[in-house]
Amino acid sequence: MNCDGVRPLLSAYIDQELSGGELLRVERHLRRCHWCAAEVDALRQTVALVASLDEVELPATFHAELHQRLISEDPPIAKARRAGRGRSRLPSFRRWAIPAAAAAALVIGVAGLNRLAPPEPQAEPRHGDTVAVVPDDHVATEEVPGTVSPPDTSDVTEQPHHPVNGPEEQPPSSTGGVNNQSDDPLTEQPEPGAPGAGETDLPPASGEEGPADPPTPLGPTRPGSGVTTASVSGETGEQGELPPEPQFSAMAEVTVANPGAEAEQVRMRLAQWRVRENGRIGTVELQIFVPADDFQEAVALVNSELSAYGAQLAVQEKDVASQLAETAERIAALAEERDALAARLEGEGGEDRLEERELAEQELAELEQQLATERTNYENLREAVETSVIVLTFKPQPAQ
Amino acid sequence: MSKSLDELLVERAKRGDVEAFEKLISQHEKTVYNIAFRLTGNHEDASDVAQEAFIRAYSSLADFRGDSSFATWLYRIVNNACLDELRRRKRQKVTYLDQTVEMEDGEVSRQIADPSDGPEQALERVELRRAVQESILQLDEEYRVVLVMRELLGYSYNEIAEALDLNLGTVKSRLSRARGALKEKFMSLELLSPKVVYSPRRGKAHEL
Repeated sequence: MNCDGVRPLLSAYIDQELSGGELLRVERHLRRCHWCAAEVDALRQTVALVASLDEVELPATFHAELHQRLISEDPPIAKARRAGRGRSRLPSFRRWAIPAAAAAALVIGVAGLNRLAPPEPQAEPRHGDTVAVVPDDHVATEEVPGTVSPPDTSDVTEQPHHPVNGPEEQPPSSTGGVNNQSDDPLTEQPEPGAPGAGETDLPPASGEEGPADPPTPLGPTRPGSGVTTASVSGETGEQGELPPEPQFSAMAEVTVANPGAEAEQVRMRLAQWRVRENGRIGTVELQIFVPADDFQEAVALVNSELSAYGAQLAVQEKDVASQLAETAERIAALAEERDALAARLEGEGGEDRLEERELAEQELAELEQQLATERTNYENLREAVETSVIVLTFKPQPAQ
Repeated sequence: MSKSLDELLVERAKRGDVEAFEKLISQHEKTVYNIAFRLTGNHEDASDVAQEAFIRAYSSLADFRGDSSFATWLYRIVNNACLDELRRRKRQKVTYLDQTVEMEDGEVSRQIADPSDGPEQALERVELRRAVQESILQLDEEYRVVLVMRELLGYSYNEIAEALDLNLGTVKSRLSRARGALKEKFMSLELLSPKVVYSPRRGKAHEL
């Protein structure tokens, strides 16, 4: 074996990970080739240098941060199916649990804003969905974050604030006095809840409502003009219960000399809402959970707070709907699985297969448990629709 | 901690017991953090990545069936989380490993300082650590992960292969290339003191 053949093996050689034949050949070569022997020596030194790196300690805040995030993860949506069973938290907390989980995802996104990746414009790609009936120029003038109006292609059961009622399309320019507060995702039941509506070729997109002459100069509008709406309607339509409206959230990043103090100040001023602090290294995040009804008010208020910092909230929508749909799908699949198993158990009476039967019963119990958990998740997600999240990130100014 | 206690904690954590999960990971968190730190090169990112990994582990705990040890399962998730994160950022400079591996002929002849003049003299200790860490960070992440698992965690080739879902040959070659690239880097920084320095030429018989 020559040097070229030996060289790629030297790394494994120093780890004693060569096969018997290779080892023999390499050793024979090394006895005669000083150059490769020197290479082995250099590799060993390289390895030793890397291994000499000291162990680093965990940052002091690591545990507290992780704990916060773990709590936010509870119950783990869509994954740890059995996690829901252990949820015996304070009832008052429960209401926030899922929004918090949703916020956790958002927080990761915010962290991305800080350092990692540029934010993605949210609504723009779906712009086309939103203009099925509404002319572009009307849409473009929209300035109403937090407002989602129903698509009007189906019977809207509850639409108290629309001057023009009825299933027809509403020309956006004619609906002048829409009260934004009321247009939150909860008060309106767009078509996916309506039987059959999900099957139409119209996307479940909401048409933009008419200009609502916003009472206060709300800061940023949603990116672009489109309304990001649930992209999935069929599945939840079958559930026949829930409007897959997007949940709103907003975020802003503020760079200040003293993140902790500034965050505290803002936190105090916004005490009427539930504000949670989520410290990261050198950065303080405030997660403000507001009832969806209060979202616009909250945005306006927070923006007025932020004006001092020259920052503004960027409002986004979250697709709680597809999460809901996925959960619903899983519930259906689990139920099917369970029914099939139950039917099989029913049919089998043979005593010679006792063990098998026992296993199947165990499996059945497990399925029931998973099913229960998924149902809890589903309910929690529905709750999430009621709540919007505003995230403020206070970052330290970079050192000079 | 006995395995059965681990299992007990896993069961509790699966049911949403955060404290049980924290206990479960307590003996691994330092290792996890160190992996993350060596892969990312700074505490802030390491903290993010390590936490992300733990969150990921927590939320996919239901998938843990106890086929492997919890540690193996956990590190697999951690490594994947780290890799994902690194790929996502892609902001590190990439060392083209192929180049360095090509450098087999003659390049070793680079003059090295007097062997008695060890690396500790060449650089202050802190500086040395920094140089080593920097060199690691310049590796392409696929190579970096393998290197960190081997040199800092002492994984066997099989364990690395399992944790990263690679075949053994890939592990071997990646590790070999990573070390080769590092070796070149360290030599150019005069961190190594080879015993033998001479200049072979291609075409000469190295085999006697």
